[in-house]
Amino acid sequence: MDIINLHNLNLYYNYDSRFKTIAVCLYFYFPIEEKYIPETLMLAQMLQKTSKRFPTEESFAYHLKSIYDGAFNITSSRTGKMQSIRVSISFINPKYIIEDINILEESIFFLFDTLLNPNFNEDSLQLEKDILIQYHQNIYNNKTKYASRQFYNSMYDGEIESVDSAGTINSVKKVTLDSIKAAYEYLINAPCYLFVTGDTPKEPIIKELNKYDLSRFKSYKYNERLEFIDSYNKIINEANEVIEEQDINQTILFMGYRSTIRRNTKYRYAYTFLSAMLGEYFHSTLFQVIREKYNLAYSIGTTTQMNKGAIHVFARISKDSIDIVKKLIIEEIEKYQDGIIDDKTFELTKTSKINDVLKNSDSPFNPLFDLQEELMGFGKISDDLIIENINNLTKDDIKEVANMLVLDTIYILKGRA
Amino acid sequence: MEKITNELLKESYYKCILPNGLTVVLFPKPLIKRTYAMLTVKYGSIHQEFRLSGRNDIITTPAGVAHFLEHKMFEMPEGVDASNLFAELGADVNAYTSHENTSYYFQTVMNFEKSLELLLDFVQTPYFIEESVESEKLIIEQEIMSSLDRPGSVCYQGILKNLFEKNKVIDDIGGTKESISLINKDTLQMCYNTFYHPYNMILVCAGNFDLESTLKLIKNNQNNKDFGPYLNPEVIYHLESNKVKKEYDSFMMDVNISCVSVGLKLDLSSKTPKEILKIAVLFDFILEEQFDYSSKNYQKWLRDHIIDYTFTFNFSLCKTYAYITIDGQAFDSNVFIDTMRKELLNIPNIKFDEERFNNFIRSHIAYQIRKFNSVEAIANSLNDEYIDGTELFDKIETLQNLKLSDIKEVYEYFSTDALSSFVVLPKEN
Repeated sequence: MDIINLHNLNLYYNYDSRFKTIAVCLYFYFPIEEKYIPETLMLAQMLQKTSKRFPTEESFAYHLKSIYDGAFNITSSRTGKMQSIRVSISFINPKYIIEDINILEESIFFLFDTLLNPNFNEDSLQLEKDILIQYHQNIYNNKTKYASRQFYNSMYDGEIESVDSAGTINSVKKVTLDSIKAAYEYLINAPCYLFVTGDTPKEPIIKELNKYDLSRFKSYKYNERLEFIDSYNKIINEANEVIEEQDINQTILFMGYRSTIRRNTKYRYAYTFLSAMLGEYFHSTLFQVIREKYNLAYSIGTTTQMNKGAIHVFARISKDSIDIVKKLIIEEIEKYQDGIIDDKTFELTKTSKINDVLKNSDSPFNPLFDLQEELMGFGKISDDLIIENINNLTKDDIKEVANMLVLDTIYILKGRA
Repeated sequence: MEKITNELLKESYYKCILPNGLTVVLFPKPLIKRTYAMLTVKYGSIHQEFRLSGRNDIITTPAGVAHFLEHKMFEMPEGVDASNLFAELGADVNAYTSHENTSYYFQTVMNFEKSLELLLDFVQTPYFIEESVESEKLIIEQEIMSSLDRPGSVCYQGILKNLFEKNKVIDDIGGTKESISLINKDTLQMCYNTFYHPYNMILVCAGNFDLESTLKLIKNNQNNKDFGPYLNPEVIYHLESNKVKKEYDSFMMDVNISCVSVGLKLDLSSKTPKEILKIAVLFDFILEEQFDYSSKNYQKWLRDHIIDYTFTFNFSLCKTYAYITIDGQAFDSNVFIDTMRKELLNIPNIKFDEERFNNFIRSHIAYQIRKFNSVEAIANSLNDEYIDGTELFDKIETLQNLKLSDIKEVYEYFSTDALSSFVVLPKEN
């Protein structure tokens, strides 16, 4: 990947001949500010729908269609106590278009024009408020999402993890045009960098980018004050169990385990590997025991919450199986803690994880993920390095991280039917 | 092998039919690391009634057999689970059942040829034992139960039951607790013997593989197997006119806002696959213009609180059944239904704009081009288009040749008789 300095802003340029699209992204980093929740989400939505040049949703979308379905997106994610916002446009490589149209110029113009000339007004603000209030009111319809939110609220009460980026009904009601504009200023003045990937020489891209006043953006550089790690560790004396009932056919079970492991510790590979061994594949322990051996669930799996070093177990079960499923999950994790780790599951997980790493390299954005790790201060990373770390893992490493897990919260949305 | 090329996209794929009837489609993408392979049987949830070649009696099977078979195919002799064998090779395997087909697929960056042999072998090795068939029922019951808690799924099943009378598209793909209780190992074996024949299957590979050696491997693998004669089942599809069975129905659930589906039924039984493809593109344009987020209507309805952010439309058009649905949560289900019905019935009176039509074509050509960024998308398209009876590049050619005046061809489908609505209501109402 080439690094080019444009008006003090770093452009990371990745030539890749495999794809038929070109993507141009601006990547912003800033500390999560509770006073801008839910404004950050709302402004991302508003920026994706209209601009001064295209003041209605219809004209905005229509223009994107006219440039061969330019995909303009604003996405956000959290790492530790930091938030990142990616503003991107992905467009068809002009060499596949017969029509005489300058897609490259139009697309890059659209990206900057939309970002720098927002169309904040009372009508669009009221619409976004209505949408978010409806989202909060109607989450009850989606039982999985509802249960997941209740589980997060129980397990991470008082922590940033439980703060929904969509805010609450009350916080949404309080949003004003002024608070949206303040959140916009906070975003636009945050440090950022540029990333471009596609089957195109860099010169025409640089020529287009140089048409804009890039010096108005603040250049991103890593420093240790940026809190990409949330190091708060909750003291757990006893697992908290929360049960709710609804008139539903199935019961949804969440079990949340915590550890002190974070992304910057030596345990990160063993920790994600443990989660994979437990529940990310068909051969994983919980799938094999709960579904295949005892036929107690159609779906059971695990996810990792890297910000908090947590592993979440999720299952949809019959209400009659709650106690047995809980007992089996706890027993299987205790086996890992006692070092009873099946050789075959261990080896199959190694092969599967390595396959996953190599498969991901077929994404146009894969180099961006490696770059982000480095820019967030977690060191240089590459597919080879990840594979080497996976290959070096031993069963003792897995036992060690399993012993760092403590059951924090059990949440059950119990079906009455 | 026949080579099929699109000059604009600079992409080619290869196709042949083996002596045993298996259709093989190979799309090499040497710069991509992964390879995606999919073996599909043209046997889905709608294939419940059929007549075998040379026989008059109709065989009727319970709803959910195709899906049940999909679950059981992973179980191999001597207690071996095919998914574990794939994991040993470093490949991800999975499967799905739809109304029309059952597909088994894997993707991998290592051991492609061994994985491909395994795919062919496990799908072509039936092994059913009564005990495991019984225990699988418990898992499938859980799967069925989970869909009954999703108002969107309930609404979708409800609108299909309103639109169609006898067509098996009305049955849930997984069946019901009652229908799967009727399935045993003999049912599975009989349906396997009837439909899982190479004549009724397609193998698609897209990604990083050698064309010659892959074809040789497939031929050798198939030559070493004896499938017997193809039973050539005549499926009873229960083709229906566009008149709906029921104009309205509802169901109550533990939800706090109604979930609504307005459906339009079409009869495309006399159309060729290419005609259906053209109709699908025209419908797509009309639906985007009138119901998409980018339409004037959508924005007005959103502001008037007739729809919310979940509003969407879907369509499924094939020879044996065809429908479109307009779906979403509604503050007032009656207002939602009235608005959508009026809008659908008014479509033949609308004068569509030429430039908007051209932009629609541009955006859909772009969508077709984007597909070639991903081997999964390529393989799935090749597979779906085979099921539909078209070819991979037909859609892009249809788009390039389409004219706004063609739109009149679909006006006849917007009639009152063809409309129905289904609502999931909050229980306290």
